[in-house]
Amino acid sequence: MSCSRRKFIASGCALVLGTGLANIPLVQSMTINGKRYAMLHDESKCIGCTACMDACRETNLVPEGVSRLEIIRSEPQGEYPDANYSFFRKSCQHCDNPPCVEVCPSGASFRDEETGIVDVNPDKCVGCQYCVAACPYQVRFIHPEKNTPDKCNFCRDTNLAQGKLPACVSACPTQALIFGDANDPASAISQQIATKPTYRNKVPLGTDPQLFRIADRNGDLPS
Amino acid sequence: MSTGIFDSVQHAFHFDSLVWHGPIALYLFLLGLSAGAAMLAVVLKRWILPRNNETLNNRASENGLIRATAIIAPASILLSLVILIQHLTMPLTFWRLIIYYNFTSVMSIGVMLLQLYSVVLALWMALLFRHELDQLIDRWMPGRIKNIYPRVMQSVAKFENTLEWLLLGIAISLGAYTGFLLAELKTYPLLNNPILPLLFFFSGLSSGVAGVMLLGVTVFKARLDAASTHWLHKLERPVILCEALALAALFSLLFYIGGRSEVAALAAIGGGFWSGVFWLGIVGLGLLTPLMLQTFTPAEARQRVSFVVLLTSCSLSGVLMLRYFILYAGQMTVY
Amino acid sequence: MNGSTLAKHSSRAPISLPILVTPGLTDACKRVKKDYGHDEQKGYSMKGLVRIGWLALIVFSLSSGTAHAANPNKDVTNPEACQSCHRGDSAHPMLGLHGGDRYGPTNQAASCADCHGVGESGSLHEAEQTDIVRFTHMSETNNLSTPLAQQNQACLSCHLGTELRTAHWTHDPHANTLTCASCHQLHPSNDPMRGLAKQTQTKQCVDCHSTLPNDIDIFNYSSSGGSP
Repeated sequence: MSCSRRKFIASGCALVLGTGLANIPLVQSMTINGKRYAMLHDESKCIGCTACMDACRETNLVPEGVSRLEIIRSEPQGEYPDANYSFFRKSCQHCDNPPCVEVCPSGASFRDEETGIVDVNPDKCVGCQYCVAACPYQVRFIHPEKNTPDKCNFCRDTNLAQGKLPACVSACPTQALIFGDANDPASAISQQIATKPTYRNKVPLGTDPQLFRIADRNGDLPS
Repeated sequence: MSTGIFDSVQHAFHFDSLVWHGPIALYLFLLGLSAGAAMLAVVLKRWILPRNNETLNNRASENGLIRATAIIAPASILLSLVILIQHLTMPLTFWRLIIYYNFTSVMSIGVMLLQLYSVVLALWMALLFRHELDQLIDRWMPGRIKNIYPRVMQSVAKFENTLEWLLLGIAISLGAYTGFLLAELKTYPLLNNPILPLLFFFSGLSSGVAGVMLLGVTVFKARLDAASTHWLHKLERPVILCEALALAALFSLLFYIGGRSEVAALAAIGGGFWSGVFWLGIVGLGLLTPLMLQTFTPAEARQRVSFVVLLTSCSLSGVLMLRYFILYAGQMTVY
Repeated sequence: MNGSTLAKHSSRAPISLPILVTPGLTDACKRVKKDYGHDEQKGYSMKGLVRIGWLALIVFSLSSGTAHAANPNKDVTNPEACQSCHRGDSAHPMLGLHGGDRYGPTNQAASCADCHGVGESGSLHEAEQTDIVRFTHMSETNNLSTPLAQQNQACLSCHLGTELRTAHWTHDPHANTLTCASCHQLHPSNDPMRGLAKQTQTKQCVDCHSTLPNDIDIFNYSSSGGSP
């Protein structure tokens, strides 16, 4: 059942990619009132400094040992002095069709319709960890102090609430992170998505992730 | 060498993509056992015992096998719920599951099913043990309850037929639910497939058959030559065959899909600790041994209690190992 | 720096040894020295040193293979010869991080020439200033500088690329674009890059990269041309 759906979506994607309209139709396939916040990680600009990780930890008071955001460095590609690395952002993708929200038995995991941000309401959570297991991007963890699942929420309750950009975005020294409203065609992120070849992770699973990526030139992509 | 084995076992139970641990496997096993036993209880009482004229004085509760189901079904569901709640990161908030629902969530539907199951099972058992209950109420309860009790029982008895069908339906759903719970996880290709509910249904039924048989003939002294016992005994082989078929279908499907599914299947049964559990424990001990014993043991030896104990122990261990295997090996490979 | 990597050079003729030394040979290097905290007003009698040094070198190379030249003041493998001009101060001794290093079967002390080289055909240090390997911060690369590849080769002759990768992955992506001296300092007794806290390491990346032009293609960036 879910297999056939996966195959259907996969072949659908292949079709869309084949016609060279990879980004635009997929991005605007869903009509949602209000904003739909999305992020773009330009891997060709990322230097793997992990300043974003530090900023996230500091802003959102994430304890050591767990993280809402990780930059995964690939194995070196090539030999010294001509070796290079790829960097991959591992964090919540704020899916339009989030499996974590679908499986949550009490509705504690939710997708905010106003902003498209996927977040957790600790007051409804029982800690069954179904969402942690259900996230194909493996970005959820149990907060060691709150005992509830935690993950990136685009600084919804911290920076964003104060009208600031998410901590990772402002910390990036190379402007490799772009954050904005994907529903607004004039926003920087919409412009980037419309004009640059982006990709998203695990699209065939039908999650419709809202974390876009620009591939670097180092070749193979980590999964 | 010994440290190598130790490391490999360590790795089998501790890895990055592991979210749900052992208690969930135990929970799924007990839930399947309970559902299997409840299915058998209804079928035995409605069709098997009357057919063979085994119900003395119209009291099915006298039958050893029925008594076994009446212990296994409620006891294992209670234990499974305790284990489940214990496994929550905030066990004391479990009541939220009863207050808040999410109809897209398999687990939420499971919570509804479990509550319904508990009520229906309790009522059905009250009817089943009506005479025993009458005596208990009469001896221990205060007068007011004694007055209300017969009226309550009468009104419940009106729905006995409905309750039985309901119990059968819920038990079948619960048996499959254990599989759907894991099949919903898109993260893990080994779990995220439609065969899993079928496999868990059959293995739950298989554990039910084995559990009822084991407890029935040992504790409740069900006669091995009784027609009902014979029927249950004959049920073992087809159920185990169905379980084996579902298992074969699961891995055929994974290899057929290819990609990460194939990687997951190979990682699970193509080497390492869990592949040992699979081939030796699940296939060898849980499926082949009972089938062999059934097929090649002389008829007179099969009438011994020790034979039944051996056979059912193999089946039960196989099912328990299957739950652990699916849970752990399933979470090893991520899309 | 461990013995095994240094030992590789023990079989070479002394004259071709990569050399450890002192900056302060050119204007560019003097600027570097300022970073080290030296007082430029002190000045250095470079010419004197150079004469002595190169005399020593010639004597040394003529006697190729002999461990010591006759006059220790003229022996460039003897740091004292260089230090008679390139003095540093007590807080920043010229023989810093590598000062105590010993290598080879004779357990030889590291010398200035081990890193800075002895120049071409022994003429150097005085007339053709470009002949000595000068280690410069990337921001100081100019016409007088030793080319990046040559600077880094002096370090790489001992420090293997694989070891650098293990020590910190950032050695890899900067290998062709930054001089080692852009980050590392060997004349102080402790390299400021050593033992940095994780967050300080990150700050190093941020401080440098946030000054780069926004449209820079970091994967094709090269400092050797002086501009991206």
